[in-house]
Amino acid sequence: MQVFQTFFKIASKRIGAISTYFIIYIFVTFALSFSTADTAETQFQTSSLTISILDEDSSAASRALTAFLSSLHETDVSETDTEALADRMYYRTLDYVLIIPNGFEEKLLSGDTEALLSDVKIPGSTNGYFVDQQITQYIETLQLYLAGGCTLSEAIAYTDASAADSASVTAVSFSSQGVKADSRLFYFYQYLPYIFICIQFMGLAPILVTENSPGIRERTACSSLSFSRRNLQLAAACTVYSVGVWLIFMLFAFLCFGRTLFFTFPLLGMLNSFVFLLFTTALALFISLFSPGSNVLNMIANIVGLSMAFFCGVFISQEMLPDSVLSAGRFLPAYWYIKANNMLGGFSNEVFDMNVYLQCLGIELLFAAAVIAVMLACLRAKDMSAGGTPRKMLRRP
Amino acid sequence: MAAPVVKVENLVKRYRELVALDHFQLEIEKGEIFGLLGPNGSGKTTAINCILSLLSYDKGSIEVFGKEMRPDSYDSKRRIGVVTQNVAVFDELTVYENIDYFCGLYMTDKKQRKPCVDEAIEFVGLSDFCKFYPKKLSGGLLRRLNIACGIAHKPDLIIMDEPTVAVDPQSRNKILEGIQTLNRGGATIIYTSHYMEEVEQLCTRIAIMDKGKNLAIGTKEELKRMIKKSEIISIDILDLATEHLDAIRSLEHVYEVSFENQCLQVLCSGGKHNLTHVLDYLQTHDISFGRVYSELPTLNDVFLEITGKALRD
Repeated sequence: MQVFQTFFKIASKRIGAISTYFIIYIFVTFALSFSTADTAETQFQTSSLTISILDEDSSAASRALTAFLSSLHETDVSETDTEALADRMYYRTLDYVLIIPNGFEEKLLSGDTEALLSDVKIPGSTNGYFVDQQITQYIETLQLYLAGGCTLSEAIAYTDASAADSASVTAVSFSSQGVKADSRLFYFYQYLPYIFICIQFMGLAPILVTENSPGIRERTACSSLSFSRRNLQLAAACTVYSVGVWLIFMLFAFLCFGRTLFFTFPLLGMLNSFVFLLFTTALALFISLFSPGSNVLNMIANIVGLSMAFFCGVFISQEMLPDSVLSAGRFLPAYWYIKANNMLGGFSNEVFDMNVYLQCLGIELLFAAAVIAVMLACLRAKDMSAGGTPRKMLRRP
Repeated sequence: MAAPVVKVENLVKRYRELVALDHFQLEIEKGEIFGLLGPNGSGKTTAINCILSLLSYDKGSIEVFGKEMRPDSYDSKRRIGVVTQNVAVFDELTVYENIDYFCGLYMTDKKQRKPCVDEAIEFVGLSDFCKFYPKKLSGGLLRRLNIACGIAHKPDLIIMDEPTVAVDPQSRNKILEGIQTLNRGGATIIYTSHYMEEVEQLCTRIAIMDKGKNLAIGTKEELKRMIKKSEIISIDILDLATEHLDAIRSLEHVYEVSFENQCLQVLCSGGKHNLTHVLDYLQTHDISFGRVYSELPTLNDVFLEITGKALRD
């Protein structure tokens, strides 16, 4: 077990560098998981703004509109000095100014919608557009009733009644089948592809580069240790190392999320992460074949890790990514990993389907197999070009 | 009679159009220090790699310890130690761990291995550097570590591929003494180099290689006898007439005479007392002379005459 033991001796010498990456990624992942997890459930809530209304019309219609807005927001009708209002808006103590011009009611009754109202809002403010929508909806409803033959007072009464109707909304997670798991766990899983790529490239690949350096390979080939036994020991060491890395992450997940880790969906998430780890291990093996220096490995880790993260929806949710990016992402295994995780976590409008989940896992495995196949082909080509076939019997003349 | 330790017959190795080994022949007996001498690119390392089954070959046969050498000849490989041309050790392991690792490729039993590793460390003089990492070692010490990694398992056949390249004189002497000690301990050694002084000093038999061919094999005395030149006489003379040159050329065993830059050079083939004969002639004809040199041919002269070019061209 000389090769196996030496693998871990070298790994232990690199433990400082590996641990640094490990701790940083653990910290960043958990920080991101915990900070983003609750936003989906808490982001939909009504909020009231500070609105100032300048009613120049003082009609029944303008008063009805003012009353409607007062029911939703904090309104202020006393302030008339436009300069003072501009100052308040500048200092963000006022969100919106609505000006109801003279002749508003007349225009409304005649069905004229041109320059019915004017407003001033904070540039780029989404809240301002939200108030616009509420006003437009109110005016359109009022006009609908007027067009239907109602008098103004009737139209105002019907519109107020209709505005008072509130829809009962229940937030439903697609993943909430059976016992609901902590959604933060799936955010934790979401960042794992990037972390696994970095950890394997910075931890596993340099050890393999050392083991595969030409001098060491030549010395091993000269020895009485067969290449198959050497490769077997190396494969066993890579497996133990990779599974160890995965188990440490899962242990951290267990410490943070407790028994929920063992519910059905989190377990499927664990399996998904393990399959992706196989792909990153295969990729690290492939890269190490070309004996790059540590700087090159760092560069490759960043390029591969970041491109997968951005193309496949690790850092940005897949539903936010344009179709063209997603189309490109389909050719990367991280896309299928994230798709499976989205299904489990109920993110990006994905609904869980076991067949699709298994398909995602299968595609990830296929990517790993493809990398291994290319690696073996490269090894063979390398041997042929060197004129030697240490793994084969000599060709007899 | 015991089978030779290494027997190579008609070995041909081609890299596409380039013939790296052209019907290469070799036979090395037990207890020899066998030198493979040749310029860079002459095929020394290719021959070694073929013997070690690191390279496939197109034609010929290789036997080591009387058995055909194949990539899976692990019994034979167990008895071979290799000191590679380039230092091949783990930067992440200490001197002790490196030697233990490479020794462990041959010996799996840790208890059996430990005394061998300790002995190898002692042998190469790295006892004070056991816990050092290779990056902390000087070039000479690194070469010694490289040797220790190749010999720790006490092989019967040691193949050393230019082990003294870029080594300081002190370390070089230490390495050469070590090789002789290993040989006295019973190891057969194949030593490749393009430093002819080392080969001349160490080797019991020498093969001269060029363009993948074995041009000559023998002891250094045998090799020197193979060439015409056996003595070179140089004498400082102020002036010498052409008639004297012709007269000296006609002396017995003299085959070439030249006079350039007030220096007479006389090349002799065989014979004894050539210098006395030349000096007698000069004194008889009252020709005054200064410093006198007489040199025997070196391996470089042998190489020059056999291949038509200097060894380090």
